[in-house]
Amino acid sequence: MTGIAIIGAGATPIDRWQAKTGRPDLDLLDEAVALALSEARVSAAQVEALSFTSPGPGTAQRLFSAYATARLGFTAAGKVVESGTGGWIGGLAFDAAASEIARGRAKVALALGVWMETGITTALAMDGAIRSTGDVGYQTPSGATPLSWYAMDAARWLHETDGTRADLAAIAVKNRRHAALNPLSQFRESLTLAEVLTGRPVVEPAGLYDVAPRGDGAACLVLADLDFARASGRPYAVLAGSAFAHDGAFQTSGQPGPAWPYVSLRSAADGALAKAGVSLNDVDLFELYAPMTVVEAISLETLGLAPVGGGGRLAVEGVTALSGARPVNVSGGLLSRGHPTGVTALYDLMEVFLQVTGQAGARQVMGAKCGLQACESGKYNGAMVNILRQGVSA
Amino acid sequence: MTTGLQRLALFGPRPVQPLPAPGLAVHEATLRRGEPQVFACACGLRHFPQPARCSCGLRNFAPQTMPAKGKLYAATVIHAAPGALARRAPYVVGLVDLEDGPRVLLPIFAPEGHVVLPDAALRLFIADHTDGSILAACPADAPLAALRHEPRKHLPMTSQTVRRPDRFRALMVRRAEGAKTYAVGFEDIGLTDLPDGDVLVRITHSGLNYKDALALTGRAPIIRSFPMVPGIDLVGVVTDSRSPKFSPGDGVLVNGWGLSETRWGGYAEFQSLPESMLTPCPKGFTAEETMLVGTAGYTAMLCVQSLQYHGLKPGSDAVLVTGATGGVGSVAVALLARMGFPVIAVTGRESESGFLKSLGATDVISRAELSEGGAKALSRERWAGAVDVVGGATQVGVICPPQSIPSSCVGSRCGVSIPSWSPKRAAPAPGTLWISISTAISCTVWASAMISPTCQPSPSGCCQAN
Repeated sequence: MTGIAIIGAGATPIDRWQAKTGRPDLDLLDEAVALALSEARVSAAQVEALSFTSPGPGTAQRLFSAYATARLGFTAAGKVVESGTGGWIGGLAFDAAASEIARGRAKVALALGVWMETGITTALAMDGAIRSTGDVGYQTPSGATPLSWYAMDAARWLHETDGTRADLAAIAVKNRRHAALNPLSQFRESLTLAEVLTGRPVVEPAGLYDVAPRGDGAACLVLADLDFARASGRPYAVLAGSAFAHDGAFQTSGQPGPAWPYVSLRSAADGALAKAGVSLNDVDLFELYAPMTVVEAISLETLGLAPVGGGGRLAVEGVTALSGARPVNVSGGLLSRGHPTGVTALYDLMEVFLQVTGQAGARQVMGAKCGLQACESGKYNGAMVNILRQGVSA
Repeated sequence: MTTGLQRLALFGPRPVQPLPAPGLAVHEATLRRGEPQVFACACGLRHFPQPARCSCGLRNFAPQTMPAKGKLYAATVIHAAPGALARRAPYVVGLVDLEDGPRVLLPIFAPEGHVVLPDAALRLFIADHTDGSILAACPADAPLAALRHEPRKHLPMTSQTVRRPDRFRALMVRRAEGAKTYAVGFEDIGLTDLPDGDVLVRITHSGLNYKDALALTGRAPIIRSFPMVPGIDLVGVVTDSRSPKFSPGDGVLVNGWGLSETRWGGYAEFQSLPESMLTPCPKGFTAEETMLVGTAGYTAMLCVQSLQYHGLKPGSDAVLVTGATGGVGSVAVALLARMGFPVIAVTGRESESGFLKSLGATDVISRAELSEGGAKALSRERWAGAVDVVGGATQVGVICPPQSIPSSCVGSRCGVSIPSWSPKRAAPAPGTLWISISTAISCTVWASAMISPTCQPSPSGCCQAN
């Protein structure tokens, strides 16, 4: 099996594009693709497979991948596919693109997508999303919303561990500082601990700044086989390890048990690290899928980087800051960089790619050579972890 | 064997209806009996709902009565919620570990002010909505009657939509052919029963005005076409719109426009209306506050604005307000007082003079004094303008006081009969302008209504209603 590399990436800033400007989805995607191809120094004709994320609720066009392939001027010898469900949509699209290269069907493949949702009302978006919050016959009538599961994690975490709301708030503040250095971020204004702690409640105990905003965005990664990447003379990242896991639960286990650790995250991380032949100590930065502050805390605890209840204190102590020993979500993360659900994982992978190739500008983690990206399928029942390492040119 | 779970009747349909799922019909039947079930696998695990296959691989499950007690694992208070749930927000959902059983996600109800913490002892009950039942939990020691289940917060104005219902409730006034009395009652109607309109509004509030009482009791011929959904005003949320001006989720209000006279009004869960009648809800007001101001407050505002338009300024003589304890009168007193006018409140209920003073009235006089016109107290009063909501003899007293009144005197009135003239009284002062305010006009045209008053001074100085 051939090695897989990322040789370029492009994305639009995350914003409420649809609500503010009415910019069409294809226009955003076109911008991301043009940037990515330019960065990778490849032409559209060299692209042999396209792996799309399934579009968001603000996209009206059906059969979007076929439509976009044609309108963006591509032809393909390999697969044109549209994939995804849950929070790991972008991860699945990336994985499908990587598979095309691994199977020898393409030397260059794109993992790309656009997510639009701000053109529809919050209520409509949630009306749709509420059906993903549980079993539609038995759990949806309770009135649980997508964020409720994590909010219950937070409630239990605060109840059972010595972690505090202020610890969690420090995660939001830290990620906002990172986001201020990222031109793609939806929110860059400074945020104080007091503002996070007094933010209006959304799903208690989580307030406005504990949860990810809604946003639109488009991102494109250019994947290539390792020989192509080496020959390019361009900086590239190698997909050193990748793994999936699902713990068998739907949103939450039907059997009493702790909300943490995120079993699937642990399992996928172990798998990806093993395949990459590295340990956690070799990882220079982490892009973790955390739509709520508590999820970053529990993820760090799950990975063994903090004791139970101590995930937030890492932010308080600066360990997970850009300048700290274990930088986490240096892009600003879902909370501040933004969370256009279907393409969030592509943005996260793009961040790790930029970091390990030394192209992250003001937020560059000094000397970063290895990064870990994680995403999940819904309440971390399922998780996907990718390890990217700096590629060595021929 | 227990006699089943306790039940609590809740208003309206379930905020989110369950969608078809395996075993749902059986579950709903057991809920009706008050004995929901869990499903025991031979491996020892008990499930809810019943899976197709246990994680141990077995597929046979024995139904058992669901334990009535459990312990809260964790809960969240949801403030941001979609659709019909927005009306309930903030509300609580939680994960409940049933005794020896599965972990289930349930709505959690508690008495007002009661915070449900993790590990709290809970018991299950059945919440009966009009369209079906759902399982819920509450603190083990809380009586069902003490549970808070009504919305506890004002309804936010935006970000709400609601599924279009098949049937909904409306108060209907019917009159049999040739009959003189009305039949009034709630009816289940459908969207196709509603009159034509550009915008479908889910009504959240409608005021109960004097005029509504007249309409419902038939004491005055307010309703001019039957059958009629009464309610002269409404506030609600757009759920469907053919108008480019309004989108689903917009908060809107309607005052007047013949609602409850010739057009179906606010006493229904939904109403269909032309876009021209709708006004966007003012920012900074909840739906409830908007309707508390309502038609009465709106009429008072029109009266005060017409006085302003015709030149009254704070610093001039006092403004008289009749019917001062009523809806229009009390708001007019408050508005005028805060603008700096001395306000003379006229009331038939002198016991309320403390209330009127608290609104800012500088003086309170009785209606009898004004009508008789002979009282000493009155002889020293002068007023530059008046808001009269009573009409009849009171209005004669307003316009034709025992003494001459300034020529700038302006009377405003709303929806009351034309005064019968008393020859014994002095004629109105020359230049008295009488403006009729009617809420049958909408916010969007009231300005022109004031510019072209519906009655003009006659050559004699008296006014003629047109």
